[in-house]
Amino acid sequence: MVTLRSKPNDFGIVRAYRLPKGSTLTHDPDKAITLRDLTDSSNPSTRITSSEPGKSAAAGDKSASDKSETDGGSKDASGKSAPTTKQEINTVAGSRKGPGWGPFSNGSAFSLADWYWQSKNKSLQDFQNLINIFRQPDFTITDTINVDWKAAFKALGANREDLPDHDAEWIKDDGWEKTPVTIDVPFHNRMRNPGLDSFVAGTFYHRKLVSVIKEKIANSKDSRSFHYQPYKATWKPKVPGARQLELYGELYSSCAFREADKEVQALPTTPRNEGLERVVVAMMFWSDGTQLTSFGGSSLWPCYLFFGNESKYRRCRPSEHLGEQVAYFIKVRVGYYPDIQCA
Amino acid sequence: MPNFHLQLSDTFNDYLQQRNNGRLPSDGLFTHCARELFQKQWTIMLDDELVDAMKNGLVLLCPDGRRRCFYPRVFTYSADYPEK
Repeated sequence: MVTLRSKPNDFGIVRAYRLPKGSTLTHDPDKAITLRDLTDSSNPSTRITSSEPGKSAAAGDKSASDKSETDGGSKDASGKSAPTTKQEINTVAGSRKGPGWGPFSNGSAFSLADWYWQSKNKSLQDFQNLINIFRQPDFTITDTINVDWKAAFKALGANREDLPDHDAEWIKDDGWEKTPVTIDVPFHNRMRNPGLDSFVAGTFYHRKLVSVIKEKIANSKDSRSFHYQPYKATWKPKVPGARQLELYGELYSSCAFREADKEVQALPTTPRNEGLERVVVAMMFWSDGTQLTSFGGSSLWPCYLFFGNESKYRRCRPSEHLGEQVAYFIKVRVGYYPDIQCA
Repeated sequence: MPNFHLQLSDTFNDYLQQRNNGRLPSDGLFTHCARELFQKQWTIMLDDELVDAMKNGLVLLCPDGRRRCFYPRVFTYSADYPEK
């Protein structure tokens, strides 16, 4: 193993990477940081918006567009945002006709659906965005008249296996698994029917963690700021006799990550990993059922997966969509009905 | 979205009462069952595919055109857990 030290950055921070002998740093997300990653600007042109046809809108997550855009409304902002969206659409699908538009038959219909899902409460800015859609040279109103919107929106949230094969080609992820869960309930020998008995608790909705990881790694937008290698960040005050200090901040600059990386680099070579760079994927699970409602009326208990390879400053922004929903746990709710307590 | 709102308590209570002459067992049994249910679900999540990736790595093509071998590790788990 060799240690690769970066030059001090503008703040005098030095990053030290521990890499296998003969290898170099293949990917440096900190190099790709631009001003837009560091600002909270309400100008939509500084935001990366996802207008990709497919599952991004499929989650039905109407919070996709940031509400801070609503106070903008300037001609400059709207003039800039519309071409970006169109450009993205064109690179994704190639043309406004034919496949590549998810459950929608053409690009015009997709644009309208995208507009509908982008925000919950329509603002003047949204209205201007709508007009911008109409202004696009390849937009045709006839393409959008005979669309079965209800069916298309339903298909947006569907799993691949829920749709006929030719309708499901655009769905790239593995979707949600439905696994029945059974628990063994013990009854003691003074009960009426002693012994173990199975109770079918219900259907557990979850996603395969490996397929979530695969999607994350293959996502070109996210990979830009996904840290493959951990480092140690140090800083030395510019005063005589000052000691070098270690800086603590991100998971990918933590001791825990470096230890995990060290362990992975030390694994024996196998036909599978031979000649390949080895990377730790830092899974961070998070779940909090109590956040949903103040009282026990809801039994929804979601579990999210975040990646510690991504900066905490990005993870904490809901508009970045970095928390993957991976499961909805089934709960045994006790104490909700008072009669259980006195049984 | 599918309906995630499973009203387990109702069916679980009914089941227990039916099995136990109309009477509900102690809180301890509920605690035990809640734990069993939670562990069962995590057993499903931590499947063979994930365990294989954690042990032997998962070779994936990255958007920069390079193939890398990924080793998933669980770093944190911040969660609420209903005690009973």
